[in-house]
Amino acid sequence: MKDTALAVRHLTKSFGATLALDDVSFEVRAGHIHGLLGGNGSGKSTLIKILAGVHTADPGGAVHIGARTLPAHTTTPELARRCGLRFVHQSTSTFPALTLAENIAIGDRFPVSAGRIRWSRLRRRTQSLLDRFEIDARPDDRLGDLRPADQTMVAIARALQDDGHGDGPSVLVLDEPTASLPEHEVGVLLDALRRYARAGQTILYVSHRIDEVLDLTDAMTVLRDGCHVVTRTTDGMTEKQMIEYIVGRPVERVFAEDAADTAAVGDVVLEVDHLTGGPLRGIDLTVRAGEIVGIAGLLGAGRTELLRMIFGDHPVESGTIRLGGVTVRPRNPGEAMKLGIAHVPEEREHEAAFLDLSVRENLSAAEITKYWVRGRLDRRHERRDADRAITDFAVRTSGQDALMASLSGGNQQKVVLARWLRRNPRLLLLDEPTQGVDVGARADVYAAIRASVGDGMAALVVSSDFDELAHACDRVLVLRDGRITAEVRGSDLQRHRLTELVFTKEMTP
Amino acid sequence: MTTSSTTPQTETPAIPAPGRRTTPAPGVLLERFGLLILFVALIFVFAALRPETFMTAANFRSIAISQSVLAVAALALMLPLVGGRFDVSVGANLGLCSIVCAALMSRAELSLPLAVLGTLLVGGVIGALNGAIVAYLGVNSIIATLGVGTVIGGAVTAYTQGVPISTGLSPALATISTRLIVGLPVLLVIMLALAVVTWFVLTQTPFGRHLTAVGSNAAAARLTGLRVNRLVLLSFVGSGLLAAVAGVLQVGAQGNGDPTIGGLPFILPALAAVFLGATNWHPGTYNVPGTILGLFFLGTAISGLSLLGVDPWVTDVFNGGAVVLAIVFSAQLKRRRTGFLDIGN
Repeated sequence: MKDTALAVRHLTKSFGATLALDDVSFEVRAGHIHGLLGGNGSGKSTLIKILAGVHTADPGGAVHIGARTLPAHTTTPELARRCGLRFVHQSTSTFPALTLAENIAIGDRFPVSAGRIRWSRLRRRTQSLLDRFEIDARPDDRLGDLRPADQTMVAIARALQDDGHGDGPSVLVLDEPTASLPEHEVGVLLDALRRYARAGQTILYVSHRIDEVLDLTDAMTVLRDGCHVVTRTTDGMTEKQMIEYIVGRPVERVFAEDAADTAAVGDVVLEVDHLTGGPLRGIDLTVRAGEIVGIAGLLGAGRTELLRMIFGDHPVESGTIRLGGVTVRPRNPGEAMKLGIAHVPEEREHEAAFLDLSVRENLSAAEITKYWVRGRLDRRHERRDADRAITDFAVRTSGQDALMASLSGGNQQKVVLARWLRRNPRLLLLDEPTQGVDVGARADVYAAIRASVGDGMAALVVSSDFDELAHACDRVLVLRDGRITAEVRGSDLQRHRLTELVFTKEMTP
Repeated sequence: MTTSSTTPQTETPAIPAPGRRTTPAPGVLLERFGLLILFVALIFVFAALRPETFMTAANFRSIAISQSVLAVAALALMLPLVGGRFDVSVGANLGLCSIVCAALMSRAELSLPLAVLGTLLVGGVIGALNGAIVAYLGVNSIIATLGVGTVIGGAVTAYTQGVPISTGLSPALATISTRLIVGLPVLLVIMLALAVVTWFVLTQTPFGRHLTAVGSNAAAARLTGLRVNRLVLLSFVGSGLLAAVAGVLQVGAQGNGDPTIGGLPFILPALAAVFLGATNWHPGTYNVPGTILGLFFLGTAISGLSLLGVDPWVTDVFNGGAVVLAIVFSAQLKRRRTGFLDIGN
């Protein structure tokens, strides 16, 4: 029997009133590749963050690494490091423009003597590291020139470079390492991971790709709604069983069509035909007036790109977009706006809010020309409209002259939404509209969307929160591997159903 | 009434009374008019120390004339800054345009209106070149305009061989610094007119509001349908045109086309004024009244100091220090208002 390399005991973490983790315990055996799975909101990210010391758990839990024991409410990044936990995150913190040697050394690891970097020593160290991890590259190569799988392996090598110096065995935690890898590169990385494991490396492998976890891991743990569901060996597991663990109920009707409730809501507003570009490989969808249609998918499925293409902000390779029956191909957001399309982007602070401008200026940002009357801006009209928007959208602010930065995330989002709905768009595209938005404001945001949809608008919503999609949308399309793989509506429209579909490969019933 | 809170992060629960602005708190008023108060205080100090030379109509007129050219240069600097870009070639462009204007009159023997038109064309083209490099080639604005400005400086030296152009100038322009309209120097009046136009463009037109949005968040501006590149280009063209006007006025103020005028040190007070301007009147934003006030504050301080008989090097130290301090103030103000501050760029 092998030893336990990592064990978590009674891990609990609450954020305010919500329990992100509820008394989770499991262990990982030394030299194993151990999968950690769960849907959105299952608590696996929280667990990883506690291990990494980014969050601390509630008192009472413990983390055992090898022979050491850490009370789980005292974890820090430094402590996690010293105990032998090594992390490689999905958006790896590597520097494509620097050489491999520099990437390896960054973070205070440059060999220095007499105040000067000893490059030859660094090169030698990098070369031996590359040999050890069987990466076919030279220390002076630029990281960005390597194929993606090799770049991930360099990140792993960097994380593990100090091991084998008597500090006890380390545990490598990989967070969605294949999320941004092209299909053919995934195999390369998985082979490498198997080699490392055979050499004795313990790996905790976080992923939502079920086929990979089945293929790669020796054992696995599934979390759901913050609770531990199962920890078991992967041997003899089927994909169906695994989805059942993740979703929490038997999977019987994967991709069964629900014939009910297909009544047309209104005229077709948006018709997308075989849209291809970026990660998208032929998207077909229609959205009718009076409808809120959701898009469910995993990270990297192409959700954001789909909205951006319709909004003229992402190149389209082929396919058509029809708006009210007319084929359109907006080349930039301005053209899309003229066609009556509105878009609330994913990253509010970076892509939507003007934080150092007033609430009023934020509200009128998309239609300032409207106030340009007889050679000057009609301030009174603008102020009146701003006050009305603040009232209509229940924006909590000290007034329209307040800075956008002084508002909470939820209220900023209401301002952004009001900015677009004031234009009376035909089609509203929303990318994660409730990210960083508190519960109360969430309801306001969706009430506002629903009201506009009632007036004949069509809405297309992307969200990682499947509960939200299930509640707020009339139907939800499942986006997986660049295609729409399922459509869910009516009584079938539930979070678990969506989770099960985004995890399931496309198949014919 | 809403309670005035000092920390911007706290949310005031009250829904505002619609329509009217709320009365600003005393602290806000002090922030808005602090520089004005300081300016008045400064005048009193110098008036007390040097009553017979400082508090004279001649001295104030001399300040007004000498600062008017710089004030137009400050407006030229401000326009790209509103869009979040730096134009450090304003000084060089100003120098070039004063030579072009003088040469068009003296060597090409053009009339004043035609010479001014030609100068505006040159200044506008330089601005367009800067704007194109920044907006369409993606070069950092400071680097791009530093390069262009240096090339311009070299070209001016090559053309003039360092010799001023002082013959054949239009008398109307060469004597402009001595003329008055309703008791005010003509140069000051022209500058004020340009300030009003700039204020109007920046605050009363969609262009100005769009440019402000670009300066606040270029990515968000793009996603609200603004043509960010074109707006940035236009802001540089505007900057070039204002620099050209400043060049023409410089010929008038000095009575000749001087090839040693221009460059970065020359416009340093103007740069300080723009940042000083962003700390008052309409704190947190580059604004015309604040900038003009800032410039005259600095000009008056320098004038008063020289009347007190301080060494000339003090002027350099004062101007350089004012730039850094003004930028520090406006950066701190931004942090206090928005809760974030980037590494300086």
